[in-house]
Amino acid sequence: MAQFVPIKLDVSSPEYAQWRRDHTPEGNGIPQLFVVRADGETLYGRSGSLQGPDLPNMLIAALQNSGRILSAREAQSLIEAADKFVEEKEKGNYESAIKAISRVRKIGEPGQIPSYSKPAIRVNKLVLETADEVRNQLKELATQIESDQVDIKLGAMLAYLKLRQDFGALKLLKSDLAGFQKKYTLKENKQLTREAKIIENANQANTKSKKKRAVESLTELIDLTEFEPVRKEAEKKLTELQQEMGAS
Amino acid sequence: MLKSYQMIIGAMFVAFAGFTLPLSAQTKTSVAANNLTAAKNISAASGRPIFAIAGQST
Repeated sequence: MAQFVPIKLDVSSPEYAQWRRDHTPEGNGIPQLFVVRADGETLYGRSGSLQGPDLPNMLIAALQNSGRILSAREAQSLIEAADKFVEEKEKGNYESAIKAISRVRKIGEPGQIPSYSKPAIRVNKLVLETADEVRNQLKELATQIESDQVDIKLGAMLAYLKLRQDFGALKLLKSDLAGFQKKYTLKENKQLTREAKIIENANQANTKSKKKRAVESLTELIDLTEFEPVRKEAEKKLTELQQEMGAS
Repeated sequence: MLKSYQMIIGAMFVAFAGFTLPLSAQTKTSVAANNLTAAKNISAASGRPIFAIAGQST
C-alpha cells in the first residue's frame, strides 16, 4: 500500500475527463482501474474489477516497472545535489560539480538513477547533458590531437587532461575518456604526453609545496624540451606560479 | 446498480489495503492524497506510482 499513491476518481468530474484523455483505459465500463508511473506513463488502465489474486498480481507487476521509490530524505538529497551541481557548473567549477552530484551514488549512479521521480529525472538529465557536452569536446580534441602542429596537439592534450581531472569520476564517461586515452598515449606522442602532464600538474598545484615542486619541474622542462609550444606554455605557467608564490 | 458498484469498490480497497508488498524500510510511510493534483505531486516527488479507481460519485 505504501508504495502507491491511492486515489478515487469521480467519472463525472472535470479532472477525470483530463485523466481519461491522458490515460485512456481499455473498455468503457466502471469501475476503471489505473496504475500510472511517477513520470505519467500508464502502466495499467482497464475497466472492470479484478478478482482474487488478480489485483495484487497486477499491482506487483506494475510496481516492477515503477522504478525506485525514494524516501523524503533521498528526494531531498537529490534536489540539493542537483542545485549544487548547477551552481558549481555555472561558476566553471566542474570538478566540484561532479563531486556534488556523486554524493547521491548510494541512491543510484548519476545519469542512470533508476527512479521516475522528478528529483531523479532532473539529476539524470543534468548529468546526461553534461556527459554529451564532454563527448562533443572529446570529439573535437580527437581531431586536434592528430594534428601535425605541436601547438594544436599540446592544446588538445592539456584540454583532455583537464577534462579527465574534472569529469573522470563520472562512470558514464569512463569509456569515452578511455577511448581518447588510447590516442593520447600513442607511441609517437610519448614525449609530448609526458611534458603536457608536467604542465597540467602545475595547473592543478593548489598547495604551497605542490606549487614549489611545480616550479622546479617547469624550470627543468623549459631547459630540456624540444618543443617550442611546450616551452612557451611552461614559461607562462611558471610566471603565474612565481607571481602567486611571491604574493603569498 | 449503484449498490453493487459501491460493493466492488469497497472490496477492492479492502483487498488493496489487505495484501502486503515487500517494502523497503525507507518507504513504509503510508501516503494518501485528497485530490488528483496532490496525488500527482506526491507521486512525482517520491517516484510512487498512482493507483486510481474511477467510478461514479457515491
